[in-house]
Amino acid sequence: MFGQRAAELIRELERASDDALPPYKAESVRGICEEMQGIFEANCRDRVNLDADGIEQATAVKIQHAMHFRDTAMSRNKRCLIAYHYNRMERLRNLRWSLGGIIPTAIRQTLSEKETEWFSNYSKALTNYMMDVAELPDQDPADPQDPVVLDLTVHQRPPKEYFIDVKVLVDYGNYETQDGETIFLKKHMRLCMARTECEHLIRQGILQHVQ
Amino acid sequence: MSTVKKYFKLRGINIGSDALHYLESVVTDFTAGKKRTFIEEVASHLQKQSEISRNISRAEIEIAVKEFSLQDDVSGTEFFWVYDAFSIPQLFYDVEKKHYLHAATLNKPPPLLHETADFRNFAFVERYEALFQRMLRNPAFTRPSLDRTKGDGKFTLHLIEELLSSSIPIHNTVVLAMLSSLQEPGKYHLEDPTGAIQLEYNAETSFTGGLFTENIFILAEGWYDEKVFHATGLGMPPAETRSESDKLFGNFNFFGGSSQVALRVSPKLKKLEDKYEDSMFVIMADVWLDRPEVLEKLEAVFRGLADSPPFCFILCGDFISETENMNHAELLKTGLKSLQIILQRYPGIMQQSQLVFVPGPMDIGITGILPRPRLPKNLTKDFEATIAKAIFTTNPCRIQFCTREIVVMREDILTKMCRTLIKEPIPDGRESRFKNLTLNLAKTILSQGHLSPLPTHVLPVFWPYDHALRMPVLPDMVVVADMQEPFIERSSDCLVASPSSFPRHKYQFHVYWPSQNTIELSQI
Repeated sequence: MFGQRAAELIRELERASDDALPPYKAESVRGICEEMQGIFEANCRDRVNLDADGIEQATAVKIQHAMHFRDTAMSRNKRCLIAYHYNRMERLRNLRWSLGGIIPTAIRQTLSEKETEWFSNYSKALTNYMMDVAELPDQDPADPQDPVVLDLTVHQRPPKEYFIDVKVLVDYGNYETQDGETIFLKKHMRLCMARTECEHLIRQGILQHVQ
Repeated sequence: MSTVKKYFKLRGINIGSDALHYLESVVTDFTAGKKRTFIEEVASHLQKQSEISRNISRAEIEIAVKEFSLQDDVSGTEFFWVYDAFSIPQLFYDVEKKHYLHAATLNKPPPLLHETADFRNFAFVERYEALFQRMLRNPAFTRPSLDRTKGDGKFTLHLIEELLSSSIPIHNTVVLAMLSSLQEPGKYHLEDPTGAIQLEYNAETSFTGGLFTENIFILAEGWYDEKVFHATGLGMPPAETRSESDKLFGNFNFFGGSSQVALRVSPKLKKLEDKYEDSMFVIMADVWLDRPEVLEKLEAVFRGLADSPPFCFILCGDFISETENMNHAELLKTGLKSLQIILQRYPGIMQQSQLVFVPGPMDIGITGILPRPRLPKNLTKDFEATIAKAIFTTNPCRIQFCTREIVVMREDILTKMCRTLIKEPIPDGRESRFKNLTLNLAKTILSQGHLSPLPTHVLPVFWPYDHALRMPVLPDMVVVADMQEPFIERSSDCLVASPSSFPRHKYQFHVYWPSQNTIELSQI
């Protein structure tokens, strides 16, 4: 049936929970592209038939209907493919905001090569934006060593207090804070840290916010 | 806070203090613009890695920096590696993810040399899996999505299990299975991980595209009835060219070495390759170091190349002509000593050319079973101490030169395959029978994706190290040094060459230019 595989592709992505990224279905995508190629070729053949001399009116109408049907199927396939890729891309983008710039190995293996490349490019574009957006016109040009930057990924929810109590969940090792101080993060440690400092570590599951 | 640190924080990458200091020390002298692009590239490189820790360590950053720091200035970069067979990564195909995974990713320890008998089965099952996946993505087998009645020359791949469970005859079916002799000689079975069925073929059955021996994997086309498969055609599973595999697996490193990303796509190494476009490899086999006439000819080769030393000599065994001799070890030691004396007369070659020694089947040590360890260290240590660029490696081994991947094996594979043929290949218009055989050999090796698709009693393999002989994706060149006449074949965008035996065949050898991926026959 036309469009069956494309619908299946979408359904599979939908079945996975909202943020999950199931493995990329390269095979299905290729199958759908082949199906579209087949449809396109069939339509081309019929177009030639339609132009043939002495074709009966009734046959011509039939051919036209068939062509229209196939064309609809093709558009639907295309829409499904675009939706599939777009939704995966959105989920990937959410990963950048929630987990930071390094994708965990388990998720990394489910991505296609192009998606990894996209992730890296997106990350680069976002960083460049954040680097440039806060460059104030009256910034001291003599001190390019310390540009003012705006990290958009912190404070995704409005913070209530500046310092928070956190618990370390994994043996992480040395972590350097923004002012250059090094903290050794060891499992079960309790710390009081600046919120901006540890928010991304909390999202990555290294620290836990203790209420 | 420094720019570097700020950049990495914004990029969402946690970087250890050690690594940060290192990176800062690298970029201190850079201009602001260059610094920015450099940091950007390092960060992008880190993000594309498949396995990377959450807190980037110094070692990880060093690898990334190495990749980019000398982008313009390529001198001083390493671009030649020899991987021995025991270091080649074991790969597992993950059906769910449709991708290969390194054994290290799956936390599998490297196997022992002598494992349990299960490993024999694993070896064959893994070979089958790799081929089966390759068949599934082959356009000839992808499910036709339109108008199934026509088929357009498409086939449906069946498992043996599916055939065995059918009570009615099945027509026009294709199976991928191993050809094995399970009951009596001369009767063959088709075997896959799900079962085995008897194979019947007759004079009308067509055999295409390879040398058919026991234990190779074939595509059998025909019909099935009453537990017997009646073949109308038997063929090799079609090989996949490198560019096709690349579309699926991207920059995954199949070849070996510590790099995560395949070195063959490295822009930096490509640049180096262009720089060294004149470099060449000399490949010869059966370099008998105990025969004065061989040494004489070898010296003639050195003399001829003294002014423009080739980049590398790949010297394959056997290194001694009298392999039955009791003083084998002594002879080899003396032979290497004589080679050393000759080399010292040609300082250009001694200092600039790499010498790779691949042991032959009859050399001292564990013989007749692949992969074969290197020549014993106690015999070669004097030689290695004087000739710094000598590399003693295993058989088979892999060589990476810039972006080129070369697999070298010294084994009389053509002879052994011809002895175990179940049917002679049909002449296909090539000028001689030998040419026909070599083309079919090349096709067989490439389509099987395995250096030795022979039964284990003809050419034994250490089962747990069977993966060292596998080629899930094809390299640029496969050297199978066979003692028969020299040959050069090209199939599926991959060169298959045999320089033949240096002393036995009028002192012929091969010269290979990696930058153009071309090879020529030479004689002295």
